[in-house]
Amino acid sequence: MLNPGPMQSLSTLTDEQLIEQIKTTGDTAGFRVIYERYGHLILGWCMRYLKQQAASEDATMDIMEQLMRNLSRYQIKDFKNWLFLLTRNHCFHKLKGKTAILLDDLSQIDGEDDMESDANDPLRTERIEEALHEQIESLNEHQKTCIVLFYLKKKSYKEIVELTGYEMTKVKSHIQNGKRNLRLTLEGVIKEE
Amino acid sequence: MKNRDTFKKWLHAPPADHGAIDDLDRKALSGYEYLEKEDDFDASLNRLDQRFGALIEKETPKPQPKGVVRPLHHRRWLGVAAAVLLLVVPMFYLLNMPVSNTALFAQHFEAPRSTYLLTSRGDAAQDNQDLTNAFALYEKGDYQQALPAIKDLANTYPERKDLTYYAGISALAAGDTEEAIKLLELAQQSDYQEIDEKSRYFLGLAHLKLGETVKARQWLSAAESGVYGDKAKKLSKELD
Repeated sequence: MLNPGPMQSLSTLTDEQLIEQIKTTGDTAGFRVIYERYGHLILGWCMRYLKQQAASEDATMDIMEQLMRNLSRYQIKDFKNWLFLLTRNHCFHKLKGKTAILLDDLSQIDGEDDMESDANDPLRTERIEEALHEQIESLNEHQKTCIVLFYLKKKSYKEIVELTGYEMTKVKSHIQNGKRNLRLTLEGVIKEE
Repeated sequence: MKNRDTFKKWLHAPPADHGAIDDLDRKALSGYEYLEKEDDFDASLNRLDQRFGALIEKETPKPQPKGVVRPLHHRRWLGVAAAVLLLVVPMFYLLNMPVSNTALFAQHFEAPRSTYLLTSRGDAAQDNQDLTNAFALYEKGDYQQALPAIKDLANTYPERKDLTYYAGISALAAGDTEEAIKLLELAQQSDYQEIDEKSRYFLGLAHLKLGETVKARQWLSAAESGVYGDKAKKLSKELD
C-alpha cells in the first residue's frame, strides 16, 4: 500500500466532496485517496475489457494520469459510474480494430449486418461493445478462452493449440461455436434496443 | 466502498458469499479472472502503487527551500566543491551511461515518407495545391517549413488525421517535441488503425527525447502490437 501521508482528513470526504476539494485547492493528496478507493477497481475494469494484465496496468496508469491532468474540466455527479465509463471508453479505444473484426465476423455468420457498429452512432457502438464483452464472459470456458485468444489477443490457431493444449479441430470448433453463441445472444440485445 | 481486501476475499470466495456487490464491483471482479497467475492480485497492485507513487511525485509541485545564509568561507568552499562536482559528475555520467535518451532518439528517429496520405475520390484536400506544396517541403526534409504548412491543412481538414500525423512527425523532426506530442496524441485518436499505431511509436520517441522514460515506455508498449511493433520492441529493449 502507498504511504498514506496527509490522507487522514481527506479520506473521510465523500467522492464528490473530495473532487470539489481537489478542484479548489489543486492539492494532489486528494488523488492518493481516489487511487486508494478506485485503483483496484480501475485495474479490474481494464482487465475485464483488455484481458491482459500488463496492458491493463498501463491503462490504469493512463487513466489516473488523465484524471490528474483533467479532473477540473469535468462536472461529475456520480463519480464511480463516471470513472467506470471513462475506463471503459479508454479500453474500447485501445481495443479498436480487434472488436471491430469480431463484430464484423459475427455479422457475416448469416449474412445480416445489424451487428456492425455504426460510426455515426457512438452510443449504439458502445452498447454493442459492452454487450459483446458481457456475452464473452458468459460463454463456456473453452469457447471464451479461444475467442479471447484469437480475437482480443491476436493469437494464431497454432499458438492457441500450444497455449491451451486443445487439438486444432477443437480450437476451430470452440471459436466457431463461440461466435454462433455470441451472435445469438447479441441479436437479442440489439432487438431490445 | 469495497477496498482491496474485500476484493481479495471475493476472488477466493464463491459468488454466493459476495454479499452486497454492485454491478460495477462485479464487473471489476470479473476482470481479475484474467490475472496471469492467481497470486498476481497483490503483485499487480504493488506495481501500480509504485508507478502511481512516481506519478504523484512528478505531478506534485516542489516547495522552494528557503535560502540559508552561511558564513562566507563556507560559501567559498561550497563553491569549489560545486565546481568540482560540475566537472566530475557529467564526466562520470557520460563515461558510464551506455546511450543517452537523446542519442537513442537520434538512432531511432527517421521521418517516414509521406506514402500513407489517405486518398479518396472527390476529397477536396487532395486537389489542394497547398497539400502538394506542403508535402514537397516534407519530402525535401525541410520540416521547419513543412510543419506550419501541414498544420494549416490539418486544421482545415480536422477529420484528416493523416495530416495531423505528418504535422506531428514534422514537429518532431524540426525539434518542436512538445508540439509533436500534442499533434501525435490527436493523430493517435484516429479511426485509421495504422495511423493510430504509428503515432503511438512516435509518441514513445517524442517522450524519450524529452527524457520522460516512463511515458516513452508506456507508448512503446502500446505500439508493440501495431505495425511498428518490432521497432517499438527493439527500442524498449534498449531502454532497459
